[in-house]
Amino acid sequence: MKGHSPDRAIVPADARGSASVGVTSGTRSGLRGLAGAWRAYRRDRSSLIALVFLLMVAGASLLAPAIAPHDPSDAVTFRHAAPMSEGLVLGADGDGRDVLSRLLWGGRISLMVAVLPTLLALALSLVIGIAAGYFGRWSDHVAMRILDMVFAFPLVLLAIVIASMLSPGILTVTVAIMVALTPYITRLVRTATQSVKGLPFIEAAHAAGAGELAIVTRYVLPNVLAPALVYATTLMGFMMVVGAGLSFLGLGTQPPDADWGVMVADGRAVLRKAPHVTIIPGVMIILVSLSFAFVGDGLRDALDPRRRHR
Amino acid sequence: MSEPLLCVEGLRTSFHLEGGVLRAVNDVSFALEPGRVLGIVGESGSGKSVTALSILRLVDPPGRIEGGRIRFRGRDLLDLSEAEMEREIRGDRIGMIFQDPMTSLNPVFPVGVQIAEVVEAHQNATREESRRRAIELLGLVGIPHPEDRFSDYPHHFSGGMRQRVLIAAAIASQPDILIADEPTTALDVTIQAQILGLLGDLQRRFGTAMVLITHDLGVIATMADDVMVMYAGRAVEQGSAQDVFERPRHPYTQGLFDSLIRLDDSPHSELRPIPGNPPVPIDLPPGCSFRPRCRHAMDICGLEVPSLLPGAGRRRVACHLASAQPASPAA
Amino acid sequence: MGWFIAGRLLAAIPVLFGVSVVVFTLLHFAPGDVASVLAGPMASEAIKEAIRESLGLNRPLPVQFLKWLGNLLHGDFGTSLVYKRPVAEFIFEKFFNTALMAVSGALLACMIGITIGIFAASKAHSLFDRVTMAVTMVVGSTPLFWLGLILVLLFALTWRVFPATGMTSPVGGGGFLDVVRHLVLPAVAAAMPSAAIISRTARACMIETLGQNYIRVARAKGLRRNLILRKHAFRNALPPIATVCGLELAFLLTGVFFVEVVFAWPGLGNALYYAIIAHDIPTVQAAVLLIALSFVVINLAVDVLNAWLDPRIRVSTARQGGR
Repeated sequence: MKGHSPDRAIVPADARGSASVGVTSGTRSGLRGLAGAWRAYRRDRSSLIALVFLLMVAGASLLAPAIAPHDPSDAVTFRHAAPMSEGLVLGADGDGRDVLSRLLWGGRISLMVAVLPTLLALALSLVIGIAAGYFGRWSDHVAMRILDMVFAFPLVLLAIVIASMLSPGILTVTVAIMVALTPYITRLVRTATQSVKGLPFIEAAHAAGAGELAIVTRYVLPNVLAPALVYATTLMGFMMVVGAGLSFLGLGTQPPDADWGVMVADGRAVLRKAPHVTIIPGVMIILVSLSFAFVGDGLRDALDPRRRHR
Repeated sequence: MSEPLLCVEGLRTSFHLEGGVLRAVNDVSFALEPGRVLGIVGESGSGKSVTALSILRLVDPPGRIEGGRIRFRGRDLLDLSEAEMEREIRGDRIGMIFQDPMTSLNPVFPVGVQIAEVVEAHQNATREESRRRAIELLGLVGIPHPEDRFSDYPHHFSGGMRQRVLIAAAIASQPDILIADEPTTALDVTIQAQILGLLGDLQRRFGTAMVLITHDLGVIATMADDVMVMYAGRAVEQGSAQDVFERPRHPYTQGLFDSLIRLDDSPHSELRPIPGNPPVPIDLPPGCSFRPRCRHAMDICGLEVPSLLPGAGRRRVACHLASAQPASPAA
Repeated sequence: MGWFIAGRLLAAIPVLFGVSVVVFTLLHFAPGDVASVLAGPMASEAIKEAIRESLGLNRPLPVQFLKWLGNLLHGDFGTSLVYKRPVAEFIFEKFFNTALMAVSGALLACMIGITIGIFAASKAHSLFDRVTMAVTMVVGSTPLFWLGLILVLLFALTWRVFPATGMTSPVGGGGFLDVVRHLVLPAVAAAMPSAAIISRTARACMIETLGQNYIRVARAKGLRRNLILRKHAFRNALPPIATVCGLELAFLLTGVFFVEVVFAWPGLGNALYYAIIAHDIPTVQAAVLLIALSFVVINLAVDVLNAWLDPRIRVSTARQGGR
């Protein structure tokens, strides 16, 4: 473990390397635990700002049909109008479409690609990881050998290959990222499960006559969920970058839909005349991806009882 | 009485933490004469280690030396530049060994290299000369087959052997002063005696003055010429070891002796530990910090910090009781 | 040490076998019928069937796999469906071009990252430290494809310092300096996020090491601050830093995928990209396999390097033999 204030993890590094696991001993009662976690979270200003920003972006994207000034696929003015001209706050792209409206609509896809596959991978990983880590023996061996092979492929390459096997689209990106990500979260869940398994309260539950299923759902899962959720949150930003990358390559979102990766790709053609078409969606990707990292960090501190009271 | 080699006056070292200012060393003064051993005793957190680190100016932020003077051979160490401290003082005129030999050697370099680098840094020696000197030092601190052991790594050595290596590095430049900060705390009891014996031998052989920091009164009794007892960042009693051991005058010092097992105790006599715990010196209440645990606490103890009053000879005691009635209060 | 390396090499063999299984199966189920691609759109079903027969595509899957693996071991990667010539003829040149960029990017990233990291750690919590760490945080989460475009915008379109695309100039190009000129922008783009991550790791490791007891001992010995930083601290912080550098090099092998596409660099990533679009399965298989192989080899090399850097592993075996 690194010093007293662990370095703020950078998303891609985490996704490529392994993650450390902080396991809490014992379970906390639901609501009071959540309230305490929220109080702890609130104290870290950067995480709070990141959360507010994320919620604002998500809200604006959800409301895109209502608040977007134009149809994202309609040419509304002459080509590549500069920002703050022609009545368009963020200008127009190479086809004369309103960048702001496209940004709002694209945010729906980009945010979904960040969140949905990661949550699906999280659910899948909890099942595989706990099965391997808790029940152990041959299921553990088999799962770990398979993971070893998957780890031989860089995450991005795996996502690209999977995406290339399916017909391009949002569903493809979701599946590709989910499959590529699952081994990483599974590894963390398995490690966390193994350390929880050795703790005294599991033995106490056994002694009290609790069934295996009850132990897993009531004692193992809550303790494994926290680190896994933190890891998943930290990964969401990176997955947004990966998803945008797939779309940039043409393997993801297809016209007439557009996410922020497609918007960057569209900007290539008019890079010199209208750089804002490329710059704006890229900046959004960076800001949102950073925010996920900050939120994940704040969550980690808030869910860790050892760090909560400082 | 000879001229003191090291003279610390009114030293104040504080740590500025979020919870307040921790006054780790609060107005401490003492002198060390050539060739003598000064023992600094106190519980953990009493400020004895920070006192030692302050002498070499090795206190890291958020800690800071905030006042006082450290006079050494006619110069105030607090006036020297960092480069002068590196070149002329640390490891050269003043050597230091630390508490935990297991983590005090760099695991990735052979032990000989870690001694030779001191010679190279301070004595303008070539690589070969410093290597020979390091081997000689390894032999001096009692490591068998020093030539063979030169290129061994720390993980090949036991804790006691590592402390010997660290002592060799600390005396490589034949310093005037050796500061030993709890040199035996982390070691097995049998090894403790060997290391203390080695330190005593080297100290007598080279006439090195020594500051020996410990919480073990037995170590002080066998090694020290003079004693300083520290409590919550302050020196509460100073004097020659013999004086202090025969007639402890501060209630804290008396409490320390009462809590010891002595060989001449009858098997049925009770140990009397000092009740309570030492305070953390953040935002201390006014008055004597030992008052809450003191058997003899008086009204004035809650109002004024007792000053360290000179007694007979070098004897100094910081206790209102001692200033009120010069005779032993425990009588 | 020798046993350690041998053990790691042995452990890599099942992984490599697994890699080939994964590559084969993944792409066996890829869309697009190889036979129809080869035969062309106008071909009759009988011709397609004949092609399937000649390629062994109608035999059981394990048989096909073993044949494919056997061919691989003989250096036969199959025939590209697009170029209609053996994949082995061109894939290694592409691989070299990718390696050229990935390695120069990784070297650049290591040099910049480690320097910044050490400097920031030695001035921890200073203004310099705060600013650089904020910058590395942002750069570390910047998409490579976007970063590449921004560099093109700045240094190729606006200031025209470096060429935007390709590996050599179309006219009179091809010399060493020409390649270097073309290499600068993509290598820098590839290196920047990695440099950011390496610098953060280097800083964290250095700060942790600087808090160790042996550093305080080194200071008490009167060693100069610079020497302590360079010798005592850096040497101990090196293993995790080397690990991250290795991970970054491995990541760059795929990260350059985007960079190669943006800068039209004729490497493996670009070849893979166009092969995917054209459903050129043998080329995709070869490219993916080469990248995965390099990934395994780099991880192995990092393991061995770390073992060598740790005297507890390096020396203990030597001593057992020696005494």
